[in-house]
Amino acid sequence: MHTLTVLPRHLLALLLVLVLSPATSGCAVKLVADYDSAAFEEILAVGKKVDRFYGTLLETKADSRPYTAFAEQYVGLETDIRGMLTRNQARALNPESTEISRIILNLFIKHKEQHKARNTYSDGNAKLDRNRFARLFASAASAEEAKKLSVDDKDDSKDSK
Amino acid sequence: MAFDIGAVLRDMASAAGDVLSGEGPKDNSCIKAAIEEEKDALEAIAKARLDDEIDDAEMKSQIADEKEALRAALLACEVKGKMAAQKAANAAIKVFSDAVKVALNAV
Repeated sequence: MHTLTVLPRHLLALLLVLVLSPATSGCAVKLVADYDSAAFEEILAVGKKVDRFYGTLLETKADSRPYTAFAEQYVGLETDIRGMLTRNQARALNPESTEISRIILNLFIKHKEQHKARNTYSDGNAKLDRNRFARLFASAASAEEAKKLSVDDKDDSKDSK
Repeated sequence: MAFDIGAVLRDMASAAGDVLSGEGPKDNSCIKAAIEEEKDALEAIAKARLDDEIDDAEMKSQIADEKEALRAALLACEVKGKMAAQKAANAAIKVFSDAVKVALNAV
């Protein structure tokens, strides 16, 4: 056992106040961005739109899926996903959620370009891509949900909603 | 005034350990779930190829996409791991902070 009893009491008290004051004034280790309910809801909303896009595409006859019929929806969804990425990039201590958004954006652009090049989108690819995007948005939501702290630790000022 | 560093360090380690023992299994289950989902996705791609719904080039492209999907799932697990470390560190700091307050009040 180490017992600090050799220093004069007032000097020891001063040292403790100076050196350890951050620990006694609410200083905490922070490794991850605070939970942002607006970001969480944005993930759910954009994920739902992408799922709806694939649902509509799959309901369209396979020989009636030229790129131009879906171009406007692609532009809207790409903008929504870019918005998610920008929001995540703007937050400190948020590299994982930023990277998940970037993965979603890159894959969405990849499939848009493939649709444009082939001027069609097969059922086989669309079903697999739809399920993958659902999992990607679930990963994004799970990463955001994990940032929730206990009531004692939560800093409401960091919630952008 | 006595400030028992050994006892405080033991209490800090205990507080951090309590948090990590609760959070650790969650991290493992997150990784297991990600791998399980990946297995299902790869099986679906294989089935689509066998059913001739996609060709070889498309299968290759689908598998490349799955690599990214798995990376995203593991990134979500990484956030959970970081949160566990953050909670454990802050539990230890709280023990330390409380001990300092008690010591200061005793001066």
